[in-house]
Amino acid sequence: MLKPNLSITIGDVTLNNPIITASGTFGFGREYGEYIDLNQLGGIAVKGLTLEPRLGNKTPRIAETPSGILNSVGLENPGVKAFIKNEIPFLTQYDSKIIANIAGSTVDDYLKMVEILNDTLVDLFEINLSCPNVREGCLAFGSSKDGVYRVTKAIKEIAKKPIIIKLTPNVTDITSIALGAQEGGADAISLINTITGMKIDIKTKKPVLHNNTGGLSGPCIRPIAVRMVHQVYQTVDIPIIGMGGITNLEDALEFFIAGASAVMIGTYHFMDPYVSEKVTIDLLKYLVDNNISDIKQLIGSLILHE
Amino acid sequence: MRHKLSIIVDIVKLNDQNIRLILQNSDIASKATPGQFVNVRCCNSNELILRRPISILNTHEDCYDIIYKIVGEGTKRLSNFKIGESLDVLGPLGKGFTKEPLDKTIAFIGGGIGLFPLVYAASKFKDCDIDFFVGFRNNDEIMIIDEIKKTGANVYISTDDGSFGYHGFITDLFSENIKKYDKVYICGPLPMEKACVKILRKHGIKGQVSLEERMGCGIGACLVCACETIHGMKHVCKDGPVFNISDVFLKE
Ligand SMILES: Cc1cc2nc3c(=O)[nH]c(=O)nc-3n(C[C@H](O)[C@H](O)[C@H](O)COP(=O)(O)OP(=O)(O)OC[C@H]3O[C@@H](n4cnc5c(N)ncnc54)[C@H](O)[C@@H]3O)c2cc1C
Ligand SMILES: Cc1cc2nc3c(=O)[nH]c(=O)nc-3n(C[C@H](O)[C@H](O)[C@H](O)COP(=O)(O)O)c2cc1C
Ligand code: FES
Repeated sequence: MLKPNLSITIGDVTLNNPIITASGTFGFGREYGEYIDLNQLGGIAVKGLTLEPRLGNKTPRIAETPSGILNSVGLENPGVKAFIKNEIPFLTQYDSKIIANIAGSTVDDYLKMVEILNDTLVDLFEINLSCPNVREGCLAFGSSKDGVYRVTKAIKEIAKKPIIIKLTPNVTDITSIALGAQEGGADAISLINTITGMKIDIKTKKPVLHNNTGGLSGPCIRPIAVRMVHQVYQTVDIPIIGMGGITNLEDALEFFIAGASAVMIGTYHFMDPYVSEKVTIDLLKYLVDNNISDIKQLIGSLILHE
Repeated sequence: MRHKLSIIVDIVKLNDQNIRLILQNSDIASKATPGQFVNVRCCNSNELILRRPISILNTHEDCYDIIYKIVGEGTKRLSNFKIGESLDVLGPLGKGFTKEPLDKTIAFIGGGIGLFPLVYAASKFKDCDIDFFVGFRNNDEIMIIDEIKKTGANVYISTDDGSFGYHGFITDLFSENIKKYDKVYICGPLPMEKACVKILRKHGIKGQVSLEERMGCGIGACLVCACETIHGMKHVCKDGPVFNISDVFLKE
């Protein structure tokens, strides 16, 4: 059998394979480059960028919970200009696509960042409308259909790269939000971002995180993420990038079957720095072993009970 | 390249809470420097999905030692591993203690689990006159004193309750002769570190401090272990855990 086709296309950009590292868990690629071959990845979604540098929240910024973590980094990042100068040259050495994850407090912030990044070697934009750990801003856009529609449309008008709209699960109806993104002209949707949570130190009666609340990620959120990918797949026609608690091939397959065209892997890198590379290799083997010539045959192959 | 697993060569129970592991892994043993740490997977299930940072105590041939204190779920599960089994350990990680050739008279100040990386440093910093100050809560906690003495250091011990050595805080002890030190290295609970740093700053004495922070990735990718310095935001796992005292603002 020929080598199965693992490539997927978002807008006019083709990724070699559908395994992408999730924003905020993989820095700007350098650190994990010491462990894995970054060429093996379909894409790298970099740490969420803002127009100006941000220091982020006070520590503790992380708490462990059963099969997961809460984080409240608060978008610490060097700002979009430092990213262009210091990180893009490094990332362009690799075959994997560069996905600039951006977050703003106003529509104008997003537009300015897109303008600045338009003429760089970034391949795709991931618009974070859903960061739960900053007081001002982006969550507000992400939690209503109209908000998502407006930001998406405004960005789409000026963006020279395909745009992926990243959705928050902290909403009552994920499908209407996803429709907002599609109607606004999104090239793809990625979900889910973290779920807001809290952990309390019973001795001090204080939350473990200095920010009090944080975003839950890791295997504990996977069933919620799979369910949401399934719902959104039934609602929109644009590609979906699924994520939430992926630790191995089997986890990733759930997302493909539910309707994801690609997956992102985040938190599990902390336990296993090789996880993305492993899933990529295992996925290819799985397709060969099961006589599947194209990953697209798997996407949305879910058989629901009557 | 995948990292090799670390084989448990021996397990030594030091007291009720502290356990020493002698681990075989030539990559870690050959690369480690004092003050660096390893990130240990404490159980094979994904119920705990964070590794636990533990300091390297020493290296010998293709082995390295760590001592961990059982405090919570992770360290409890770590205590289930047996001799001959393998542990998934990443490391060595972070930046350790450094010494200039002119630093001849030096002090180490350690408290509790902060003691371990300092013992490693004391064994590596040759041709120095070393005073090693150790604070414990009480007599039952005292451990590895013979090992510190073997480095040739003069050892001073205090306990909070006076059950052994000097009764009181270790800061009282070391500040007596503070002026003679070219450099002071500190690792211990935050209140102790802060007290020491304050004294050192007052006397303009140079030093390094090892900071503790909750970690995610342990390699500088997730930014959860932030620490403010005069050079901007740094990360304890990658830029530290050891920092120059003159560079850091210690947390409230
Ligand atoms: C650089 C560094 C070096 C260390 N060296 C040693 C050592 O040599 N020996 C030793 O016994 N301990 C050391 N510690 C502390 C050790 O990491 C914690 O005691 C351990 O993580 C507790 O895990 P747990 O699951 O048993 O506790 P839990 O309280 O159940 O842990 C819950 C979560 O909080 C984190 N956490 C809890 N306490 C600490 C802490 N003090 N520092 C950082 N994270 C913490 C855990 O990693 C885990 O993610 C070191 C910590 C750091 C940052
Ligand atoms: C420490 C940390 C930082 C994150 N930072 C960002 C970010 O800057 N932008 C973003 O869109 N998502 C961010 N996320 C969310 C992840 O990209 C991902 O959506 C989520 O963690 C679920 O996937 P996982 O369970 O595989 O980690 C972050 C997650 C973690 C754990
Ligand atoms: S623990 Fe991830 S950056 Fe330090």
